[in-house]
Amino acid sequence: MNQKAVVIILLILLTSFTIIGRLFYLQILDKEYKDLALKNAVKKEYIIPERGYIYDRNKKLLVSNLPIYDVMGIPNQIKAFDTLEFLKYTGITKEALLKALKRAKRYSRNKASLIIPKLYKNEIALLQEKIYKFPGFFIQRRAIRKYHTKSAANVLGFIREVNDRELKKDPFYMPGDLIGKAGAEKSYEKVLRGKKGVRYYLTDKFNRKIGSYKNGKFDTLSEVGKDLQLSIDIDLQQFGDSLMINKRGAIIAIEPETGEILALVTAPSFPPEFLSGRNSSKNFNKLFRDKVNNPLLDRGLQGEYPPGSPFKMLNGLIGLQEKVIEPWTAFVCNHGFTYGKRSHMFCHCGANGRKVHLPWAIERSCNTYFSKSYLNIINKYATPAEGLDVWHNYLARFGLGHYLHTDLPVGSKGLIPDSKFYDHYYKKGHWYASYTISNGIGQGEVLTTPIQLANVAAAIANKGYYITPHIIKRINDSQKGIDSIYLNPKQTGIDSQYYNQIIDGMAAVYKYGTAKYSQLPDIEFCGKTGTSENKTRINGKIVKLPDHSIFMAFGPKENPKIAVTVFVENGGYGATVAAPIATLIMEKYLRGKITRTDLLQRVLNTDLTSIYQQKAPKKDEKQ
Amino acid sequence: MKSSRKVGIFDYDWLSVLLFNMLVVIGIISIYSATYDQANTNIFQSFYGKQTLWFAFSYVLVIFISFLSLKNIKNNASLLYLIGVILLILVLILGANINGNKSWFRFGSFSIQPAEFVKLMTVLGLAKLLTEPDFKLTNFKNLLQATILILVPVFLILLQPDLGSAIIFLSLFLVFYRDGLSVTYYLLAFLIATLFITTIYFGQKNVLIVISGIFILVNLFTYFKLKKIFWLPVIFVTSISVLSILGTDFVFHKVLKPHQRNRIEIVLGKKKDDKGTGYNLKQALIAIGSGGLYGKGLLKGSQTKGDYIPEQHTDWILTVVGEQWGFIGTLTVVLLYTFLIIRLIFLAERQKQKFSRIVGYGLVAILFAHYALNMLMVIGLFPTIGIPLPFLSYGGSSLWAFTLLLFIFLKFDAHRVEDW
Repeated sequence: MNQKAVVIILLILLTSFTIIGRLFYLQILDKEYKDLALKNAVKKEYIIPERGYIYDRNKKLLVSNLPIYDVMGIPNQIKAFDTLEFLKYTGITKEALLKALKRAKRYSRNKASLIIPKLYKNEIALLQEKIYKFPGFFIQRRAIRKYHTKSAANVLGFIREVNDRELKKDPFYMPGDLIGKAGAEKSYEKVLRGKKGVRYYLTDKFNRKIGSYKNGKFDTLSEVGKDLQLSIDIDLQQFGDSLMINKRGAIIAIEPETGEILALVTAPSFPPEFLSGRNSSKNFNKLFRDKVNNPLLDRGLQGEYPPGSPFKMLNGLIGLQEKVIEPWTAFVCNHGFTYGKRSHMFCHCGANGRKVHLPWAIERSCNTYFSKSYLNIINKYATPAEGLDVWHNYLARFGLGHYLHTDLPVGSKGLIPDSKFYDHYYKKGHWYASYTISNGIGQGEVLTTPIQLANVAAAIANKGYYITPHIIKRINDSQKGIDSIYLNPKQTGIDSQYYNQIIDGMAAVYKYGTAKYSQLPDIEFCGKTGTSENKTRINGKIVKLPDHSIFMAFGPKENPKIAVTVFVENGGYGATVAAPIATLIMEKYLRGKITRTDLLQRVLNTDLTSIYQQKAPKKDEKQ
Repeated sequence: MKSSRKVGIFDYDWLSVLLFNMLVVIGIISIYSATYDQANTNIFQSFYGKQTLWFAFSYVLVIFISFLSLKNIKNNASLLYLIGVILLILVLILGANINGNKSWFRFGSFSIQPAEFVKLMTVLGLAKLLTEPDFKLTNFKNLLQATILILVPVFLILLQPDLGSAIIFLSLFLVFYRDGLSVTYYLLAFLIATLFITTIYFGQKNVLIVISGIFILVNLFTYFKLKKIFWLPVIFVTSISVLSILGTDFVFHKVLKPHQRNRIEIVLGKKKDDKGTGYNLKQALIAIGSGGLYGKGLLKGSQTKGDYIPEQHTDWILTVVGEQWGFIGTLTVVLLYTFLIIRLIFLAERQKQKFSRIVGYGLVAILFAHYALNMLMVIGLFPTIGIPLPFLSYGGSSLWAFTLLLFIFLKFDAHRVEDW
């Protein structure tokens, strides 16, 4: 054969071997392309399960789901369409449509973008029938929360689209997913959200589905979210709302035996549907910016106030347990007493120099008695620091000065000072029990949240123990999955015998004392009024405002079913507003109806808005 | 002269005809896989239906060829070449403008790409010129004539512009090698091409330094070993090298269009552009690479089904083979081409007539250039240019032009014992 032909054949063989070698490398050796092909064509689609429903303790439906429709568009598939007809069916303006289309194009020409969000079923019906006329558009169904109550927004919470931080934290979520942002929706997010299903699709280069991947071999089913049954009594909650109209503050009602929260009213509030549906973002901003009323603040859980006189119950109990007082110990009260060199603790109990013993001291809220009791506790020990820490530890066991760890996502610690606190404040070893005497009557440095006080009421009602307050009752009709801290009692460390004197004293408050006008003839309630002073700065001057009105109660005295704390900002003397509200709440819960209509009318007519308007918008300095 | 015996259809080289048919059938199945899900329900409007139709019609052309007189073909070769050149001029005037290229005559829904057929006409014209009496490629004047004959269609096609087809015509210079042109020209061309690529890759300055070093070393070596310096070749090669290194920048930045520059840089790995210019190649590599050894199976390729590769049924048809039938499939196709081309060289070599041998080598050169450049492009070893894979890619013009060229040569081969 011609030699040049051989050279040409060699050239051809060389080329073919080069091609074969490269193909061998691409197809056999390099595994990267298999993954790339899958990444290209196999798309995961998540099936979002229906979110669990929320019921109240009597199985009344509070929250369900409502289908809502988004009109989506894929720019590259949109053909020229009758804009006027489209606008007619959807009810949006031409400008809004053009803006949405422009945004969609900017985002991606081949991926679906939101064109019109959140249309309700009746609003989408027309378009749904005619959608074939608008290629490139499709309707996507999703669900928002539907609320069957106007109440309990702070308990139920709300859901929103996940933010970047949440996306990073939990791989469960994809952009656009909804997540509980507050209340039960947040605390029980993992229970309510269910389990997503996964479906694998083959897609073409325009991201259009062209069939299932391997006949659905890898697909998984979704699991519907679990239903919550809350301990909240929605009727009671609503009743509480109505009592708090034109007032600021909180009502907390707890079932002492179980620690279940029956009502958690904060005022001012807003209907839960405010943060669902089309205007949710706008509404949220409105609520968020309202620094005057601060409706997003849950005053029951987060508000820290000086507890005032109800705190005296605790000093009585600790004094008994520490044996620095006995049930019939008597202190002399002469419009108060003088301590230290020139200091005087005033008292309005009316003993006028007579001896005072415990039940009477409670009934009349005697400052002298409890201050002396407090001083005796502290001074029992070698140093005031040691004594104060003993006192502090008792209170810590009541859940004061620390987070209570309720199953709601917000809360405050309050403040119960210990020796470190005063060591820092004064100088180590340079302070004495008398410096802190206001702690004896629930003023001074002591701060509590209304729910902490309600929990104290429950512990007193239980004579020595409490179960951490919580809103969960059942998950899918079972106690499975409920945190054990909401099922197991916590001991307060004070013998139950000592509670009897305190309870007798609190019963006397209703019978003869400060809450006399709130009592019912046939149910024996126990309660304690409180009044806490507060001042605020208006135009640079410190102005004393009407006191906060506080009432702590439970009932009936035998076998208590409900413990309540009511806190009304600037409500005045404890007996004027808070006590009637607490009594009405207890009557409503125990009886289902209100017999003291005079009391109800008085509460409903109480309007404190004029006082609130005096307050500077931001600072609410407590004293 | 009368033929001594009757030549029938069975005298055509059956192996070449078999390989041709296998390639076309693989092509039709691949076109079907790439396009079966497109909206056309009418089989004769679908790509695979039309390709099948054109395959059938190519046998009409085969029958038509069998009636042609070889003498007439040879005698009218110059005229055919002229007609080809006129067609290329006409398409620049009357052609339909498709994506800025004037490469097609359009008759209603039917269009024809004259450049495909001009390949055949140029091969015949070249054979005619090279068989002229006293024509010698070693004669500079004759070499110039032959070169101009090839460069006229190249120039006209570049005006369309269709760089891919133009490059294919350059492959005809391979015929000159077999017909006596010195290997020096090819080595020089290879040197220029290598310098072009290395200059783009390493930069003008670096290549100049390295090349100067090499020349100095070579000269020192020849001087000390042979005690002589070959001044003339040294000066010639040096100046050619320096010119091509210096010219690279000009050609690369001024002559080439931005997308062509991108494609060269992508192949050289200097640039990554998987979303833009490099998208097609990237997707092609994914399709072929994900095929593995056995492939994903007929109609099971996700890249193919998802239409990730534009022009998959034409220039990128190898990706269908690679994805569906894996390395086994692509190896088969490569071997089929290699066998066919080498078989054609054998056939060309057994020609008694110089004319038919040149036609054979013309066919080999064009077929080889198509096969090699298309595959090297699809597997990312050559910059992307629009060259179809003969017999496999969708397209009537390409299929018919190759059928005509192949079967005219096979007819020459069938009549090789005669003195026509």
